[in-house]
Amino acid sequence: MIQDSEEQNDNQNMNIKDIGTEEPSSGQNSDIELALKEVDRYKDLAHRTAAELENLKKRSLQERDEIRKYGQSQLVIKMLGVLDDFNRAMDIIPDDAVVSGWKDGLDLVKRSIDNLLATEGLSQIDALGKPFEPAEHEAVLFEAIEGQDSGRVLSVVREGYKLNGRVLRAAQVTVSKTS
Amino acid sequence: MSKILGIDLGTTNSCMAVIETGEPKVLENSEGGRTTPSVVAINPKSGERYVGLTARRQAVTNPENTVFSVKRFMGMGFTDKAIKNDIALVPYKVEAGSNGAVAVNMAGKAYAPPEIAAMTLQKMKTDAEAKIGEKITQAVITVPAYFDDSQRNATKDAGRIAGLEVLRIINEPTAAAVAYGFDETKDGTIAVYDLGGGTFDITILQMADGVVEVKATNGDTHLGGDDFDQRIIEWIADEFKKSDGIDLKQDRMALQRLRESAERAKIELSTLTQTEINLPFVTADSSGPKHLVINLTKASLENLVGDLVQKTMDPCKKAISDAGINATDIDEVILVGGMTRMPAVQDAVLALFKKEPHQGVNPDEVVAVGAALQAGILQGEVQDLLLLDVTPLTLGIETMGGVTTSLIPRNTTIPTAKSEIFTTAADGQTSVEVHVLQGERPMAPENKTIGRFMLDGILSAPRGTPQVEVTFDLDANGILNVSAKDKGTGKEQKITITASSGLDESEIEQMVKEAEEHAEEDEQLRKDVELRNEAENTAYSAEKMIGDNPEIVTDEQKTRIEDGVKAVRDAIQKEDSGQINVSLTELQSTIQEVGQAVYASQAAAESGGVDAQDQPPSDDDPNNGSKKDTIEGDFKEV
Repeated sequence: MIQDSEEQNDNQNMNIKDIGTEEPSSGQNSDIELALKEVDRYKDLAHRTAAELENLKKRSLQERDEIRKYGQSQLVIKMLGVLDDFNRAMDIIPDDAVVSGWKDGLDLVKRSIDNLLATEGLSQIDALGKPFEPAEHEAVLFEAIEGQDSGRVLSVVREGYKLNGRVLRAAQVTVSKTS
Repeated sequence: MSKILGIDLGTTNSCMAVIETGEPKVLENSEGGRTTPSVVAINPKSGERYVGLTARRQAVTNPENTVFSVKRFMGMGFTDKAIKNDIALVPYKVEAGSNGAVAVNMAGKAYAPPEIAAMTLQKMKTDAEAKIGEKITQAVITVPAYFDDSQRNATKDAGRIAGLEVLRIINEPTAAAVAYGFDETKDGTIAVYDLGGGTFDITILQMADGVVEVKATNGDTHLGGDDFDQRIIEWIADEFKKSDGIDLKQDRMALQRLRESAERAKIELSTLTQTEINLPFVTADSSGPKHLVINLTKASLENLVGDLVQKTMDPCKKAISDAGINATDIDEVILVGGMTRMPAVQDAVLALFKKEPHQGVNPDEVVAVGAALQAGILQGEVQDLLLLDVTPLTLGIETMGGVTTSLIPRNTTIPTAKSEIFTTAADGQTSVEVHVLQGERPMAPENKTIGRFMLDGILSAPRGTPQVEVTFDLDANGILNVSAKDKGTGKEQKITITASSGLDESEIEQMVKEAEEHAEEDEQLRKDVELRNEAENTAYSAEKMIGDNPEIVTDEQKTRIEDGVKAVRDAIQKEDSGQINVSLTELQSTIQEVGQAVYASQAAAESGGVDAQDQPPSDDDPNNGSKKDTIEGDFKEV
């Protein structure tokens, strides 16, 4: 897909220079008019700068707030990956296969991880059986199942979580199709 | 004047940025992402529309009405050979629209590609407005350098439909060059190597007299990071098949995990020499759960994708020859796109162009940043007056002990003004000298004197009482106005110093360098001076304590204090910091003890109705030893 650059129209030969500067037109009335024009320009600049500063302050505050709420996101997402594996391990242990004390201990470890994440603002997305909602769920499989309404979450392949109200990781789900 | 949005409308992902206080800033979308997937979908039953991440998430349930990579169809005719393959590859319906143009069918309705791109633009516009709290009506949008008129107009239309006045359509490689600071002052030939998620583009740009010309473009419309990921996935699956006899590619869920791990491994191997891919419980068979644990080294990865990297070299060589130049004629190389983070890619680029590629700007965002910078120029924000200067060297005055007290630190943006209150160092001092200094050294004699004046007529008072406000006012031209005002009498004296930036670059550098070299010894000197000042002040307060309260302090206490004061003054005289410290600490504790004893005896006599006014003053004495920053022959800082 090569195109000869000669065929490009004006849009592509970009003049990067500032197009905003004004040239005083010939027949400008007086120095005073020019000066007043300059005054207006500077006034405008001053106002704009001041306003920009105010806005920057507001945005900085907002950003600080967001960092406080979501700054840990990347770390938490990585931890969730490990938590997923841990849950997989826990789910697969048959109750009678392991000495009960040991499994109880692991349950407690899981609980303390869950509590820790909860205090950091993490909450699990409740997806099972709910209507499929792309804002919170990611469909990985679309299956027709007898007797099921379509568009419902059939199973949760990987749990989803919100951090301080914002979706951190969508739940990976299988969704029912009309059979 | 509202902000202009700079938009990189990509095939797979889009990105947006604005200029804020002269700097480009990438804006996050409503989900907190710095890029937005260029995906749009409509639920045929509910009619609900999804844009971006949500559209991607429901793709599996709605493949025929989920439109991605619509950029491939912008401005194209339905019968164009170039898109024949693309039409076959996508799960959504592509058909002939009005005038033989391409149309995409979503939920039974035919849409022109610009209408679909407009949905992505609209989301970005709304999210940007929410982020910056103001309306956005104008944008600068980027397109590939090889886009023809029809494709450019289609992009402009997309903007218009989204409610944006598209001020300019700019070439993506040009935007990238702008992001790296290539402007009208720099001439030269630039190669822009853009390896993104799904496409590869190489462009040779010529910059001269402020005009950018595209000399040649080439690339591969179906080569990108996704292909690299696929290689890793295949390799992992093959290894697992060898070791455990199970083909993970048949397992949808396992494949999903594989995909994520592969991408993560790829990223990690940009900095590490090897990484472990660890997937517990990846699958199961009759014998129980199966785990995947496999090591991938950087070298192995480079082997796996070597041919893909090579695939980018031929288009580069073709572009160079089409531009009518040699690889050595290229002055600068710029990298764009996430995949360029891979060392193997960077090495290949270096080997071909024999130039270190520019990398500082986030390669996923560099095009949007460039678009925003262009928007800023169009608005006059970047070129106009508001390019501010900074003061290159610290400005201050000399205070007690020959120390420099700084008022305006170096690299402060000007114009600026700073005031501080100072006071006298000696009892009955009726004038102060304002000795204005420029430089980075803590000790006054090492800095440059740029001005000096006296303020007199200060009322005779104990040291530390008068309040002299010293103001430094540095205007945009670097002219410094220094004033000193006695707040008590209202008397004021001022001078104007024009030579405050009389030094040239090399002199400034020299001064900064010297300051750094002497930093340690200067710091020690300064500490010594401060200690001396503190000792002197404490001695003074101790004497004051005795002097003010002859009836309350016992003779024995008086002697102890006088001895302590003498010890301190001797140490000061000898300029022995160690001794000053010791004697000072002792004097301080003596003062405290005496003070305590005095209060104790007062409390005992209290029942006799002693007037509270007779109590010796304590905490409001600015000279007491806990104040560190008291200074100077003429001046003390309050």
